[in-house]
Amino acid sequence: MRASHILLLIVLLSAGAACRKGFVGINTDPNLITGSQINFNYLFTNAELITSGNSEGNGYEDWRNNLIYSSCMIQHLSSTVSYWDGDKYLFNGTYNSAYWDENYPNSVAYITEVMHHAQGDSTLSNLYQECRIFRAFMFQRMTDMYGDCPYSQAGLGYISGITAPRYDRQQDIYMDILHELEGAAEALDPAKANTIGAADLLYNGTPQSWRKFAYSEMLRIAMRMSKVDPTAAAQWTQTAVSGGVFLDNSENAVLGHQNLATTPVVNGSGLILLGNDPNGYRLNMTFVNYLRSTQDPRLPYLATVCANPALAADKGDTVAAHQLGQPGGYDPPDNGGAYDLTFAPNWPGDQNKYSVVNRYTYARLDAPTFFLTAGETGLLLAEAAQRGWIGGDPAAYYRTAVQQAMSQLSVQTGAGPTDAVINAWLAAHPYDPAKGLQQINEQYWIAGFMDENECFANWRRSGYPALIPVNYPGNVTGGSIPRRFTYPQSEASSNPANYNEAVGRLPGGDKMTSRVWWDVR
Amino acid sequence: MLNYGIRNYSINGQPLGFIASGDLPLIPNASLRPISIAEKEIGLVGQFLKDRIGFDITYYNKETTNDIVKVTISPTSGYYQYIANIGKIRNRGVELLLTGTPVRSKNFNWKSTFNLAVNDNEVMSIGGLPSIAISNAYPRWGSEVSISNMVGLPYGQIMGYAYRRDPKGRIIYSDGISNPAPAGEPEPSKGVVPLGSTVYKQTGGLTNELRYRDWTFTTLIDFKFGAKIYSGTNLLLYYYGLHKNTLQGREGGYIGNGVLDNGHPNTLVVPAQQYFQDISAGGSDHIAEEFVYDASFIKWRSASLTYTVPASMLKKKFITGLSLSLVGRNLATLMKRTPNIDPESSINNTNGQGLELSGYPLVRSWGFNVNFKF
Repeated sequence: MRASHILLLIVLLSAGAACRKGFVGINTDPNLITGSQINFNYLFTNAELITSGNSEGNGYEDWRNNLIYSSCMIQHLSSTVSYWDGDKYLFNGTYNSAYWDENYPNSVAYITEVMHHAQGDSTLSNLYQECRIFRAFMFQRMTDMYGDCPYSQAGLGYISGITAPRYDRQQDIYMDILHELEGAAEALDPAKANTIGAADLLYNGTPQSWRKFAYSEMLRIAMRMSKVDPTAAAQWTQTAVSGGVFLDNSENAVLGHQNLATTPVVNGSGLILLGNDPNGYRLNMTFVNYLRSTQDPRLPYLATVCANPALAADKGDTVAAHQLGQPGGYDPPDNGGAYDLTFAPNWPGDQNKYSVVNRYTYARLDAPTFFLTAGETGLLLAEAAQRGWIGGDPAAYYRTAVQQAMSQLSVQTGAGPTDAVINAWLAAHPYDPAKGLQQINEQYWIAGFMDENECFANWRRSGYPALIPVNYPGNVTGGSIPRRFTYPQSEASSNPANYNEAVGRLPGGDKMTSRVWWDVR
Repeated sequence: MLNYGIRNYSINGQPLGFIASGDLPLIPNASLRPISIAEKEIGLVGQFLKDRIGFDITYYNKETTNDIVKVTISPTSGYYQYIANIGKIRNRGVELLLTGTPVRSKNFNWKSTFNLAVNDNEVMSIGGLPSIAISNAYPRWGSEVSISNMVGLPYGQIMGYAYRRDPKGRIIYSDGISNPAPAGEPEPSKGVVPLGSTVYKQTGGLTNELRYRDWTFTTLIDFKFGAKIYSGTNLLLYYYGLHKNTLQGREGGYIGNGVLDNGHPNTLVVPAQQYFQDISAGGSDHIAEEFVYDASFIKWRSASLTYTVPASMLKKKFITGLSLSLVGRNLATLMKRTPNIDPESSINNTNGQGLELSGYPLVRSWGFNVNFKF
């Protein structure tokens, strides 16, 4: 009896000890890892991927900002579907803030973590510079869309405990990212280790390629200041050019996608155009008419007419002469209202006779995402030369830029015009200095197709192409094309002091009609 | 310490890492402590007239300190929330239970039970913050509406824009020149304001059971008072012009009943569609106050009629007990103050109750039960 009691006591005591020992283990999630175990390269990869616009695998922010708003506002696409608010300048707060909502707590948090990890570690110097360059790119887009926004204090919730980041002025963000790009480009060193390698989806971590990306991005930012501060614009343009920018499509900052359904690996815009909302939009009449009137050889690679756009397998008819654009500002056909599509000036009797995005090039789940291209860069060089900010012949820059922009389709997008066709078109449509800025920026509008947020920014800056707004009842802009996206409504309660200060700086408040710093009249 | 994960998919063979701290990325806190609760309670129970009448009354005062609060923060920090021991909440109130048997005889029995709970709830501190939004408690529609906790007010406040009013309480309408809102439309309050708690202050019910020989009839009426609800359904009905209120001014335009900034009565005419769309989901000057309703209700929750087959009829066979009942639930709403919707409707299951959008009301159901005992 006594022996068994002692035995029981021993069993109980050892059970108690095991329980205490297991406490940490039981509270540690076996499916997760901590900072000492994570390979930070994996966070960098994901930051690049999420910046391409499909953070949730359902095209969330590409659908709302890139397509529903930006593409319709600059009249690449049009829609008769009620929730495609950008077609008619209607307001939806969560659509406006989608890009912000998805990027700050994901890609911004990740890139900030990697930067923090790599900073001060001399063996990770190249990775650190690449983080600085990519973060600059991310915030150029963010501030172009929203204006003043959290930048210097963004993504530091864990690192510094900042839970209500300050909204930096766009001018300050611009100046800082220009210096970041310059500093990072200079510090990139091919002699130092390339630790990230293939985990960098853009350049396999090659420092020379990142340097060109940095200077090309610098050129984009510099030229964005052409209205508000031509002196700084010219100066930074010169810095960028002497540093060395993209000259060829092989240097493009482009992210390749895979057809891996319901994951962010898929191209977000491609997913919407082919799979999730294939019948919700058409190509805009403004865009198709422009391509037709200029005999642009890209038309059959940008457009297609599908008998039933809802069927992904229907790749349609890509013959240029059959392409037709649907005007913006209309309701669905035969709905009986004043804005019935059947009243459209070019109503073809069937909505499916209007073109949709070409399904061999951009409307694909594995279509690439272009962050920055040689075509865009070359066009900005042509403009800088035309303005006298850099040396060289604007016509020569223009010619090279259009060649790159047109050949990008066959080189990287799936199908496009041949070099012979491109050269013949250029010979027939030479550069005209008298309307150089218009020609250049209309080409930019085509070259940036599907990078709609970028096209929206360059249209606001350059004023080209001259777009005629629609005026549908209930629009929130008084019948003018919006000038920015509005902040997330949750910021009013989660970050009230900084939000209210930023809204107070916006002329007219947090509206789509308020202009960002560089967008002076 | 921050946790990370690797996605279960990759791109071109490259793994994708992410920050995985909490269901929504949360800034972890290494120094969390358990919460403490101090409660004082005093009660009295009485039974009279051979248990024909009884009561049970309790007063309580409960203070929760070091409450572990997940605070919603700006996602621009890279995270959605942080966690800390910062909450202090007080609940005090009275719970009352009355039981009675008005009739007790061999063949007829009537038992009645009434219960009532009155709770006074106050958020006393949130670690120095004036208010915090409850995680995920956002409606789909309406500008900057959230469910928040605000110091000095009951738990679960609906936050949103109210009408701006003059000192006499009259709504101020924009003249379209000195105000940002379009002419003739109401001016929103300066910033979001608390529009009422979504937690009921008084709850209770009345149960009656009547038994005559082998027949038993039971019925339950319950009620809840003193909470508000933000109705997305009514907001959308305004937007689409399907709400009764939007009939006002449909021909000839709508003139808001109030004053302009200069104190003169508002006479500006706005097309009714524009007016009702702009205050609901069009434009960007939404008035949340218009869609906040008193969520009080009285409902006839259930009734049942049961026939118990007498044991004598069953003799001592295989089945020793048998009863048949007709049961009805959610029979009627006897009182509510929310047009078009059920005040108990809800769009989410977080702590942020009191948001409603196109939910189905509780359905009335009828059932027939057969109960065997072996």
